[in-house]
Amino acid sequence: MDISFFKRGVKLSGRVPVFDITDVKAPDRAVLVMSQEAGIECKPAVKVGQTVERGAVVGEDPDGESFVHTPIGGRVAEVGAKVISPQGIETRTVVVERGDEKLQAWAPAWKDEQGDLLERLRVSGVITSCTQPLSLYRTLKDVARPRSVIAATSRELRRGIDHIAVRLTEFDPHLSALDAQSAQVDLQQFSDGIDELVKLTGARQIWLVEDKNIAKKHYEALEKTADDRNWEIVAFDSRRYPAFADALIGKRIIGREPPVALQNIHDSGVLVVDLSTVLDVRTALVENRPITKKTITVTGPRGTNVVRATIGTPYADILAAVGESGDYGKIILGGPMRGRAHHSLDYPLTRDVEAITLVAQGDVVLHENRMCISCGLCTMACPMRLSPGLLSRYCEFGQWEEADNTHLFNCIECGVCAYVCPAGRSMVQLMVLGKTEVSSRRNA
Amino acid sequence: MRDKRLVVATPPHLRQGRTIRRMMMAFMVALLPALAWGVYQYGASVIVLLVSACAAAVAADAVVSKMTKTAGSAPDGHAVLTGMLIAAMLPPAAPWWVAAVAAAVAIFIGKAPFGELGGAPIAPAVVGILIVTLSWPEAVDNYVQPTTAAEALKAEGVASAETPIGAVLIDPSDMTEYDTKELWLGRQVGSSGTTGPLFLILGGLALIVARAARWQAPLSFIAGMGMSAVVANGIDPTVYPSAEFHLATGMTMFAAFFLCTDHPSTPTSPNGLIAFGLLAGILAYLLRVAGLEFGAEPWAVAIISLATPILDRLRPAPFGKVVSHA
Repeated sequence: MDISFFKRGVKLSGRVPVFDITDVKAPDRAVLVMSQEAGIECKPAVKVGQTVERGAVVGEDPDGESFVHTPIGGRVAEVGAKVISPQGIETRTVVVERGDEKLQAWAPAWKDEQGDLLERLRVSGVITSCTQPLSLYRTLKDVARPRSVIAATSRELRRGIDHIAVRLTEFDPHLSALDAQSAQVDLQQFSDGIDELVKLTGARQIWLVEDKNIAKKHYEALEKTADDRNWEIVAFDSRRYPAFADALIGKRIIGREPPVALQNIHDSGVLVVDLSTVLDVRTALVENRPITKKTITVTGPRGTNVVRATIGTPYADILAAVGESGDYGKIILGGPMRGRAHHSLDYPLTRDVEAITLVAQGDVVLHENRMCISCGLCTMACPMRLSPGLLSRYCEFGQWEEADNTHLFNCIECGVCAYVCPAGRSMVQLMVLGKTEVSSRRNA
Repeated sequence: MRDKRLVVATPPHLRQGRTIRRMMMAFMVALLPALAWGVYQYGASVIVLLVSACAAAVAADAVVSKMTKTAGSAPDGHAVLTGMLIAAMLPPAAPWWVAAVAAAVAIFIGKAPFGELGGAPIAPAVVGILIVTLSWPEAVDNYVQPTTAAEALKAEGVASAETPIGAVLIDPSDMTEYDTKELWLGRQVGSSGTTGPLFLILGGLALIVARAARWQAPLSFIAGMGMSAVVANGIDPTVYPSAEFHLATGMTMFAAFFLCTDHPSTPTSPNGLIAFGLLAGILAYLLRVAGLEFGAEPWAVAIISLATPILDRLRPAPFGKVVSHA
């Protein structure tokens, strides 16, 4: 939990948390990207000219795991126009234009209030941003459902989740949307969200994960609730990135290193979610509404802001709301350590985005990707104790099998290796390439 | 819709600011105190060696970069560093052309065939030194007394002297003549830039503090050499000098802090580095007592460098996994 618990990673400085949340008004024209989470593309479920209520489903994926909802009621103006996602994949959009007042009432996300909680979660689009943004349904579907039935007794055997860790701060210490949310969280709503999560998973212990560098007063209310409800509190030093990686939180909770391959630490009985996921679970299961808002950190030349924006709002509108304008060289969807740079400011907000980071034209640095000099700085820094240099060379030269055998899938893509690399190598890019290639070969 | 296209990139978008160039500069700066001591002791002859080795390395690198149509390693300073390391390893009385040939060989044979910086299985400077050692042994094994170096240049090979190791090899009873304090302070016969153990330690520690080099290989090299010497000294103190004598003389400290820290030719994992240093230290000691007066340390480092791919398998077990496939 302090340095002795986690020696690796890198020291980052310059953490200045922001605790005010600015509301950005919902757009009159919402552009809904069909790929709201990396890797899943939904099919448009509406036609041009159709009227939709607020919260209605406009996109659905073939597996029925991911849904896209409209944040405003109105008329479908456009279906199928293509945009390029930050992952570089072409995806379709649905554009909804705001209609009259009576369409602005929420359409219920789930018609039957008595439905299975997990089924209700499925259609509401709750995202959990563990190591990677993923729908919470997808994360929970294997653990919350019975795995097998014991013969003769017909008792259900569950894999189960014993602990739920709620991260009150950001993975990337440059961001502060979660800090702002945790400082002004509605305790009743938060408790309700936790109760729903406990119902979903059967967890026995709740842990709140705090940042040591944030003044105690911001956590006071939450800590009091934690005391009343018998939740445990752990704190990490956010300046030592990536202290808030799921695996490291899991280690602190269960006292041993959880398996991290494939980024599924749920097998060890720990579910790590962040505070906004808890609130989203409440919105979905208590209010029976889909998730159409997202609180994100916007960092630009003018400073850091936390905004609550509607999904489907173009970035330009969000930037205008916080007074950011100018000649940008780079727009990063996410924090500086893990976000992906996008080529255009016209892309709309999707629900897997945690932050927008802007880099002024003159501040863009292009890194030369040189050959690995085997200095070993990445090996010393890797929180997962991998040999990133070796892995990056395997991936660079297409030795997928060797990369897989050298624990490529234990990589959590935190970016520490590239941060320290003197050769300026695009380590994360190579790791992602390797993972993609290995998985496509596994599935073939 | 605006057409302006922004820069796309994969994370992280922040970097620590380390570059290969800065790393090489750190090595050069760390080597300066020892080289300055060499210049103080031996005068202009060291500067002549330095200039010819660096010039030859940069020229050879320019030829290679022209032939391969790449940027070459002159911009990041590796060529100059190679020249400096070669000059430091050569005796001050070695002719200037030996330094130039060693540097050119280092780049042409030690580095260029393996591509960019990072590919060489043995440190190029070591390759250069070893090849000239084999080719012109009498020119390389040509040590002189510190004070007479200037004259030695004028009248070739007049005031030759024995290094402490050479002297002890010839007659073990000589070891009592050396005051270890004097040896540590650098008052000894030796190569241009390797006679000041304290200066080398100072530079090496600075490298480690600046994180341009890692502590495992240098320390375990010293440990390997020291432990071997302790064992041998325990067996027969009249024949085998003390560990302190071995650590303070020859190129021990130079090899520990400047050869064992060559990144491409050494392992990356902490355990691999420790194994590397220990093996190289023990081998260097064995080569010394077997009669190699000049070059025991570069030979040892070169030979153990070839085992780097195997030593690199001593990786730490990944997080959350007890059994390693390595």
